[in-house]
Amino acid sequence: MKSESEVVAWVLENRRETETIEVKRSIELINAPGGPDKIEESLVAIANSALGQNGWLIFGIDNDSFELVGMLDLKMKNVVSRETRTIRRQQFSQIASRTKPSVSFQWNELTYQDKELVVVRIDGRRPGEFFQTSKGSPWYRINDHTYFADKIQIRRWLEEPELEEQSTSPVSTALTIYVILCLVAIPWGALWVLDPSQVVRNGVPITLGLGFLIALVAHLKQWKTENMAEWCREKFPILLLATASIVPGAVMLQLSLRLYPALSGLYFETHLRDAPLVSLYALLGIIAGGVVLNLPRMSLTQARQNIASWIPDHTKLLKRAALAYFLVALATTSIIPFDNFLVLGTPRIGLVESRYVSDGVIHISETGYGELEAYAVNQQIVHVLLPLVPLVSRVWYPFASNSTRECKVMRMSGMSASLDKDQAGRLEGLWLFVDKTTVSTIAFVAVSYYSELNVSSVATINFHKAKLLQSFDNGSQQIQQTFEISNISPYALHIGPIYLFQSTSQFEVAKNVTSGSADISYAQEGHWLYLNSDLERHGGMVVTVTYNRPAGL
Amino acid sequence: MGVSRTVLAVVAILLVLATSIAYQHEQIPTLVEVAVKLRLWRGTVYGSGSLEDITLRLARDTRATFDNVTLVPTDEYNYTSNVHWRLLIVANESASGNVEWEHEVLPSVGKVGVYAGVVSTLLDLKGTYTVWVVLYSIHDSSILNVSSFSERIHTY
Repeated sequence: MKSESEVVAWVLENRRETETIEVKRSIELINAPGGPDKIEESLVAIANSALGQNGWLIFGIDNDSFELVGMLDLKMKNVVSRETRTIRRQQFSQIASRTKPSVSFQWNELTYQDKELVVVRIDGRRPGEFFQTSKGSPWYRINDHTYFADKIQIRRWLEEPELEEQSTSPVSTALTIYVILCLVAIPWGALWVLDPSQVVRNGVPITLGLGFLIALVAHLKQWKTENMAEWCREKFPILLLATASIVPGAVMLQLSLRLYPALSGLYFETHLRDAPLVSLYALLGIIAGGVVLNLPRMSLTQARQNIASWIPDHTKLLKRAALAYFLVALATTSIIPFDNFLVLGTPRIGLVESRYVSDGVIHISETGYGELEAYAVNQQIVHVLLPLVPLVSRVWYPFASNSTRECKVMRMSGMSASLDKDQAGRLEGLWLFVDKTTVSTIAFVAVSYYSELNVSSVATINFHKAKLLQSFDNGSQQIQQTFEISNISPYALHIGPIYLFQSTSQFEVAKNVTSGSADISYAQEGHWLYLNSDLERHGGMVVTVTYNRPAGL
Repeated sequence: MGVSRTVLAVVAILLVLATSIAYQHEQIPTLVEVAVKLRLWRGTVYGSGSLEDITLRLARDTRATFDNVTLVPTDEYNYTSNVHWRLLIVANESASGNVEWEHEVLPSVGKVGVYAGVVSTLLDLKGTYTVWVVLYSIHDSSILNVSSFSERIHTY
C-alpha cells in the first residue's frame, strides 16, 4: 500500500488493524487527558513494527466498528475546526519529537467518501534500531495489539541483519532526475542569461561544483535519498513561491530593457531579454518536479485538500511572498525612469561627435557617361561610458549611412569595434566590444564613413549648346563647347575626373575660374578630354573648349 | 537581540540603490571638455594661426580652463609684438539658446615667433548642439578671424 487512500480503503474493507496500521476515532485524543502518552505509545509501537516500511495512524475511523466518522470531537457531536486541527498537528509534532530517537512522520489530511480524515504516515525503523517513548518504553505491535518489548525482543532487533538493497522506488528515481536536472539547469540557465559565451567555458565547472556541494551537504546532514525527497517535498511550496516571484521581476526587467536604448543610445546583445521565458520555464520545471515528487503518494483529491489546508496555515508566508513580489517588481520597474541599475553593468553612450565633411571638401565624380555623383567624408566619434561591473561586453550602436563606399574605424580607446553593414554594403551599425582590462571609465571609437549627396545641392552645372565651327574633308569636326560650374555648397569642391568630349590631342581651352583651379586634360586611351577642378566656397568657372572630334564618332 | 531578516533585506536593497546612485553621481561625467590644440604665428602687426586639433571628451574635472600656449623656442625672433589671440567656443542649441565661452591667449613672452599649446575648458552641455570653435588674432583694435571649426554633438 503506497498511498493514504489505499490504506484507508484497506482498513474499511477488512475492518481490522494490523501491526503497522492503527486507527483512532477522533483527533481530539491528542489533547485528551492521558492522550499524548497514548499517542506516543502508538507512534513508537507502529514505528518499531514497521521494519523498513511505512506505518499508518489514522484519525477519523472508529476503532471498534471501523466506520468512517470523520473529523468529530470525542463526543462525536461537533466537527473539529480547521484551526483546532492545526493545533493538534503541532501537538502531534511535539509528541513525535520527544520519542527516542524522534519518529519521522507525514501528516496528511484527506477526504474519503465525503468524510475528512487525518492519515499520518510514519517512517518505520531500520534494522538494528528501535524507538522508545520519552520514558524509555520500547512498544511494538503484534497484529492489532501493543506490547512492551522485553530484553530478548530488543536484542533480536539489535541483531537484525541489514536489509537487502531495496529496489529503487519511483520517488527516489524521480528525485534523482529532478536534482540532476536542477543541478544542470540552474548554472547553465544563469550563464546563458548573463553571457552566452560563458556557457561552455564555465557551465561544466559550476555544475560539478554545485554537485559536489550538494553531495557534501547531503553527507554532513546524513541525508539519504528518501530524506532528500522528503526535504524537497517539504520545501516545494517555498521554492514555488520564490521562483514565482522572479517571473514578474523578469517581465518588468524586459520592459526596462526595451526602453534602455532610448536612455543609453545603445542596444546590447543579451539574453536578459529571455529572462521572463527562462523564469517561466524554471517555474514550470519546479511545478513539474513537485508533481512528480508528490504524485506517487497523493491523489488529485488529496492534493486539492492539501492545497486547501496549506493556504490558511501559511497566510504569513503568503503575505511575505506578496511583499517580495512587490519589492522585486518595484526594483525592476525603477530601472525604467531612474536608469539606476543597468549603468552599473552595461555601457552607455555619453557623447557623440558628428563631423560632417570632415576633410572640408565635397567630391563630385562621374559614375557613368553624363552621370555625376557627389559624396563627402564624415567622421563620427562615439564616446562610451564604461560600467562599474561589465556584465555586457558587446553592444550595438545604430548608424545610418547612405553610401556603399568603404568606411573604416579610424581610432579607438578602451574598446574595439567592428562595422555592421547591410546587404548592399551600407553601414548600419557598429558592434562595440568593451575591453574588460581597461582602467578608464570612458572609451571612444572614431569612424570614418561616406555620405552620398545630391549633385544639384552642392553645385550648379550648365553645359551650353555645342557650336560646330568647321567640318573637314577627313570627316572630323571642330566643335566649341562652353560650360559653367559654380560651387553653391558651404564647403570646397573637388570635381573630377569628369570625362567631357572625345577629341584629338589638338584642343584649346579658354577659362575663367574664380576661387579655384580647373584643368582640362587629354587621355590618350579613348581620346577623351577630362576635367579636374578644385573650387573654394563660392568659387566658380566658365570654360570654353574648342576641340576636334574625330570622324566616326 | 538579533536583526530580523526583513531588516537585513531592506538594508541590502537600500545599499544597492545607494551604491548605484552614488556611482552615477560620482563617476558618470556630466561635463564636456573641449581641448583645442593651437599653432599660432605672431608678427609685429599681424597674427595668424590654426586649430590643429579639436578634442572633445566627457569629464568630471572641476578644472575650468587650461592654457599652456608658449613660444616655440626654435621659432623665435628678437622683435616684440602685442598681437594676441582670442579663442571663442559657441554651442548653439535651438531649444535653450547658446553656451558661449571665450578666452584670450596672451603668452607671457611678448616676442614675435611661433607659439603652440593647448587650451581647454569645460562646458555644461546637455542635448544636441552645434559646437563652433573660432580663433581670432587681435592687434590693437583689429580683429581677424584666422581659423574655425564646427561639429554637431549629442550628449546623453
